Amino acid sequence: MTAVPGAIVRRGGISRTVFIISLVVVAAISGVSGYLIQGFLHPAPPTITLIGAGSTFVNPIITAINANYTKSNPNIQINYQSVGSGAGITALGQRTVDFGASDAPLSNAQILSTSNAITIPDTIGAVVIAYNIPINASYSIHKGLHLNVTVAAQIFQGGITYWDDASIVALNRNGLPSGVSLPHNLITVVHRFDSSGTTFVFTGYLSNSSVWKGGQSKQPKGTAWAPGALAPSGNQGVASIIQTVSNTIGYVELNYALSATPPIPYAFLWNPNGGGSFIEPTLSSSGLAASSLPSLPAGSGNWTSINLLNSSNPGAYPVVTFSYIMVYQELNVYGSAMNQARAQALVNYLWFVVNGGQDQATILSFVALPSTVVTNAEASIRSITYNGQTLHS
Amino acid sequence: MAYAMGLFCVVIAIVPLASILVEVIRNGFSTINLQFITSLPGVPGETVGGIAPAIQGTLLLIGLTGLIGIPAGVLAGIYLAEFGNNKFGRAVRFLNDVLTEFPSIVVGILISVLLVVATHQYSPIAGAIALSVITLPVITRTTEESIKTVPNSLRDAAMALGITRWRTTVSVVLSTARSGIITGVLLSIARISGETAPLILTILGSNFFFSNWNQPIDALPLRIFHDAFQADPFTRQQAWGAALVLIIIVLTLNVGVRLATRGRYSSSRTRL
Amino acid sequence: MSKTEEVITVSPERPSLNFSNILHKLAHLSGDDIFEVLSNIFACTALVVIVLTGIVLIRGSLPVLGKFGVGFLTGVDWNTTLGQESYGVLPYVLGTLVTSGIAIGIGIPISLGIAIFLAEMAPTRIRAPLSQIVEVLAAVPSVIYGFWGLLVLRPWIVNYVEVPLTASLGNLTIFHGSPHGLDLFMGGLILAVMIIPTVSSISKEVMMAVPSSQREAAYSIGATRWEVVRMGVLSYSRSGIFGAAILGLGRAVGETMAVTMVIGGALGPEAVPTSLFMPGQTLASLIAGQFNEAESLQLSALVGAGLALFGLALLINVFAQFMVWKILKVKAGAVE
Repeated sequence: MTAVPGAIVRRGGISRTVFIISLVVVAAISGVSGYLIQGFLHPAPPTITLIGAGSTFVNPIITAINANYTKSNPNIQINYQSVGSGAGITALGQRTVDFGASDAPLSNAQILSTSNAITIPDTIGAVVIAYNIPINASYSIHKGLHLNVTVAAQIFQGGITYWDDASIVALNRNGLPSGVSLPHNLITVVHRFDSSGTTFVFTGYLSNSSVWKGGQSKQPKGTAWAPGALAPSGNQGVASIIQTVSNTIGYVELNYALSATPPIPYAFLWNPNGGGSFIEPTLSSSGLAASSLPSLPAGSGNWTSINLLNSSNPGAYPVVTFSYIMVYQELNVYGSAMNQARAQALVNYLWFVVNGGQDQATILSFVALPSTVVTNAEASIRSITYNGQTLHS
Repeated sequence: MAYAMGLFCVVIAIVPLASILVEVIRNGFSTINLQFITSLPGVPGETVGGIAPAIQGTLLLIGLTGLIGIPAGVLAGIYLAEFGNNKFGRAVRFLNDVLTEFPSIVVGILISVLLVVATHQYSPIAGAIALSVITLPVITRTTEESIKTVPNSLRDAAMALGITRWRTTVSVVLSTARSGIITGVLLSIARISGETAPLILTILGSNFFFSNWNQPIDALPLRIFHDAFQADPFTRQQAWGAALVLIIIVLTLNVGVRLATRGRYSSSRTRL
Repeated sequence: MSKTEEVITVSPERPSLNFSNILHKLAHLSGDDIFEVLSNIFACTALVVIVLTGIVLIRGSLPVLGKFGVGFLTGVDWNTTLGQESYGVLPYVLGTLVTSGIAIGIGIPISLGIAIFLAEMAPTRIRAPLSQIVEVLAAVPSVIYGFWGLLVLRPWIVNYVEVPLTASLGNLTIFHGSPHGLDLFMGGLILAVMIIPTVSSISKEVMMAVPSSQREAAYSIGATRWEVVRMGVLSYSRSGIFGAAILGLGRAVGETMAVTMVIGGALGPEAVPTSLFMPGQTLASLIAGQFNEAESLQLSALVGAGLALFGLALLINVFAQFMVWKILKVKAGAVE
């Protein structure tokens, strides 16, 4: 043996210093520092966080309303997760969220399963048909492709596969600049993969044409859509795909098309009333669709027949919809996860959404709730109870 | 000729890595500033905001997962190395390796069904438990390997001094094997900080800092996933910035560990 | 003169088991016993988790399996509308296999090339740094792979691979579809990039573990450099490399995020893979996309998809573990 007896031979490896350093590194990147960072930046953390989930359709306006609310009520923050209408209602049913948001009303089955959930309209918005049609390197079809419901149904179903199909050309003779014609490219349809209120509204519009076989649904079965269709999740996913991939066509809420850089082109849709014309989706044409409202049920009632599609007003854009917040009427269903303060905060927040929060609507191209709708919403909010007592007078 | 082809293959493997690093740095670099790392996410359409809750969430998850996964994994690894030379030990080793290759979405389903749906809460604890399940077999394996390299002469010497077996393991063996164990731990941490799939099902996501063990939180990979598909350019920039932060964390851990243990082991650390 | 060692047994006679003896034992539990029991408990965690997973997945899928039986595995519909529900995971099983197949088909040859280069041909000076660099690829999180794949790799592949192929061979069924890059091919490609570091590093270790006697024997019969690699090294390490490939396949099957971001999102009969350039869906991306919104039967269907994925991954990985373990267990200190 040549080694010195008693010595432990260490073949290299990390020194004590490195060991200590790595311990420090691990501790430093552990939750301890995360906790401390929060304490440093926000010495008095908000006491109440309300959790909501659902519709991506209303995400722009809800996040604006939430930010505004927290500005004037700094001890209340609202964590809204934009995961799609279907996921929002499921989360509400599982009671993992305080409120759900959906552009589709509760179905008959859902009314039964989420017993004592009430429906509160929070805004009105438009669904546009957005597209990406490149002509050449320097020109693509800007907003204003003319479509009607039958041609739209055929495109989304796969019956029409090229941009220069006779039906599309027939509608667009006057719409395009001279010398520009629709290209002979294959159309790629973009629809929603997730369970979507926006899909519900759009398929409701398409169902107006006898051509559309997919029915009205938050998630039509795969064969409803054209073969080779792309299916991202969320309004933002659809907008992002249309923006990046050429020769696509899909449906998104108006704000998503407007706020992309550059704005995503969208179609003008045929409104047959008053002689008939192609209507551009704007704040005012959406407002016209909301000008003749159906009579609204109570919050606890059945909203499945309520829609603002195909308004008879000649200047109205045909694909306009309410979007809703669903909450439990009796907040005791949450058990120990709910207390008086949170219940009160929730009700105060909802009151703000339908009143002061509506200031955020117009600038984001959503229609502010008409006063009759606000009255309906307020009645529903007043009916919310905790421990047997109502929370807003 | 074969040499050229082999070199070509290596280049093909390195090009994506270089491309990822270049693109993430190029796009994300301008986004990172103090405001980015310390502010809450902004409202869509505005151009202010940051990813602070995501960074805090990732740190919190790493800490919690470490608290749960490290002791469990190290103890299991000790068992396999010290007491595991029997049929039971072989079975455990085998099962452990099977657990290593669980699809992470299946782990997400497991914890979602057992914890999230049952308790009606998305929470960081559910997320941490899911990540612990992913990281535990890796730490077990690396701990076992590291302990096995400790020469028996050390154990004999300790026994000769009258030290009990468990004290030998804890004081002598563990400290001798510590660089291997720490390597395994740090590499696991690097891996789980990038896991997304189980988090989608267990922590939901949040725009705010951690406030309560029963509330959703945000995490870097989750935020990247959500922001990547935004058409709004500012939010997409945030995704690049978040990607850069995540890559910095992951690569610092990985490269740091490799540099620190250079020459100590032949590349057996790798397949996580 | 041979020395016989006296073996001094220190274990006492086994005392009879009765109540007072047990109490006595408990009262005098040594630290060793506690330690062994504690570590024993934690060693069982893997077993507990696997069993729990099996239970949760099977229980969760019972409703949908009860309603559709084997049709769940062979059906292609995916209809979530109440009253018309129909669930079948065949398209997604096929999608998983196709993307993983592409990953293997592209990734394995490249990994082998890397392994051979690093194990046999690279000068020792650059072997270690190059190995480390390739292995760092394994550390990149999959969501970043997806993000990069979506924004950087996809346009490149569209311009240089998909558009030319569609233009020239577009009438072949396998190249049908618009070449926009959100398809099965892209999914498979991203997976290939992700499994290369794993497969190449295992293969390299397996090759490096081949005793030099093998190579020397090949040289001694006059083989060229390449033939030495082929005869002496590759044939010896065949099983180990095969195991590494299967391990890579197992990882590709379970990968979720990167694939979800580039695969396009098909659902129902459309999701049955017919062309490389059509959008597809894998089991993992299906679950990740719909799990949070699913209730009752749809949730059961997704858990069923998880069960199918679990079964697939388990099958592949048990097989891989067995092969790699069998080959490498003879080498002390070597690792799979």
